[in-house]
Amino acid sequence: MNKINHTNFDNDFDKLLLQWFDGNLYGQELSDFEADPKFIEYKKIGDSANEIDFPIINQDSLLLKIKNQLKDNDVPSAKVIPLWKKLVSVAVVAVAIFGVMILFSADIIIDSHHAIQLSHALPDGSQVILNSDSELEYDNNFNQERVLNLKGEAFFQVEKGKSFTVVTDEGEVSVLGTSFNVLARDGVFVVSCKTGKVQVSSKNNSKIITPGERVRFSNGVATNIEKVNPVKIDDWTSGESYFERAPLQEVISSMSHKYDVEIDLPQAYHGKLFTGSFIHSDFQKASKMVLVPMGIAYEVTENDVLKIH
Amino acid sequence: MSKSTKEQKFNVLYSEWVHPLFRFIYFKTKDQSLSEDIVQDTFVKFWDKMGTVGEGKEKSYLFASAKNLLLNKIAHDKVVGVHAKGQTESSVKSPHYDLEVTEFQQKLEKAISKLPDNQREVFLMNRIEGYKYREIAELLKISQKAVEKRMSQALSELRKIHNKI
Repeated sequence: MNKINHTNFDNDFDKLLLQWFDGNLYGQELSDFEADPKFIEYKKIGDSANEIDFPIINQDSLLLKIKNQLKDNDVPSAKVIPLWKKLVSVAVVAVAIFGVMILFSADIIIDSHHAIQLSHALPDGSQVILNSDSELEYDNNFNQERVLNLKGEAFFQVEKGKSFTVVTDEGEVSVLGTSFNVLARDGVFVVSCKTGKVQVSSKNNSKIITPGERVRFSNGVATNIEKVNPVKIDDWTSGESYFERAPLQEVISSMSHKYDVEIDLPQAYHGKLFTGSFIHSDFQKASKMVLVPMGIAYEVTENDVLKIH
Repeated sequence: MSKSTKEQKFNVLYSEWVHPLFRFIYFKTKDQSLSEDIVQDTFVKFWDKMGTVGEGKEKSYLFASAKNLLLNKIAHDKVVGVHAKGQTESSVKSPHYDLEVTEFQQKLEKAISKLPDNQREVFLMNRIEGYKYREIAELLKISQKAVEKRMSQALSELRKIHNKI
């Protein structure tokens, strides 16, 4: 007995259908088959299936996990060791324990190397995604007092609880439980709120922003609060950096941190506003995505040096 | 192979296959964190075996290895019941996705998530990855006939959603 429910169709149709899905029908046979009204329903299934979104894993943070696991695996297993070596290893263990003690009493520093972005879970369950070339620091009683230091850019997803404060050279951000993005580097301080409520202060100036708002400080003075698309705020965590009316020098600086390259933007272009994005996987394409829409002439040499004319 | 050449080669193969491998396991399990674990273990194992895997054989090695790790894990945890419930609904989607999605698309996704694992895997490898039946057969280590049969069953099951709309 045939298990497949073929009642509606003859075997010829099924055979051709399978061939169609395998991309194995050509010429007249293909056009005849595609004209068959019975086929339309399957075509719709096939086409719609192509549109399904699947979860995407964070490639960089998984690679980091893999490399950490490989490092752990590298620790040699116990073997029979001559006495003198044992004595040496006791000394080494003593040093190691001492080292660990130092580690426990010191601050925890998370540092994203050039061109890598990483996710980190804080002791209170909050999540941070640290952009390239950024550094995050907190001490080991973080759970008592949720304060951390940031250099660079990070997106925070904060668990509800006591106040949570991000301290940067440019200013401070305080929240209760929310998600928000902080960019603080080279005199630039930009905070965008995705959910909840965020208090941002720099020098003596303080502003509260709500979802879909962004505040930009320069020299401790807040410019107007601007509307941004909350969906796009943490776009850079998924392989593409998005900007809305951002000064071009900020965009170029972000590119140069992401790709770990020096880019010289002629003074004449500073202050021009850019809306758009660049991808993280291809420097040539990224340059094109930023500079072509701005109508700026440039060239990318073979060794990925970007020259802006 | 020096350590840095090995690492370079590893990184290239990792970038090339991490997403297809993840989807390969996800199509079967519908479980994101399980799939991620399997991919992690697959590459950890691959690092040790890199010297013994021939040039050009990396892909089939990686897929076979991921499949074995999954089978071991299922045998070990007896987790089949847990993720047969279908966690597709909770999968990460872009927020504007829900607005664009049509009723048909929703029905289709639901129907796909309810397909038996073997059929869903074949159907999605064909649709999403664009693999030929021959390639699917190689990667799953089954005959091409078996692939065709599963595809046929999946299609006739999915076609039923037209009647329900």
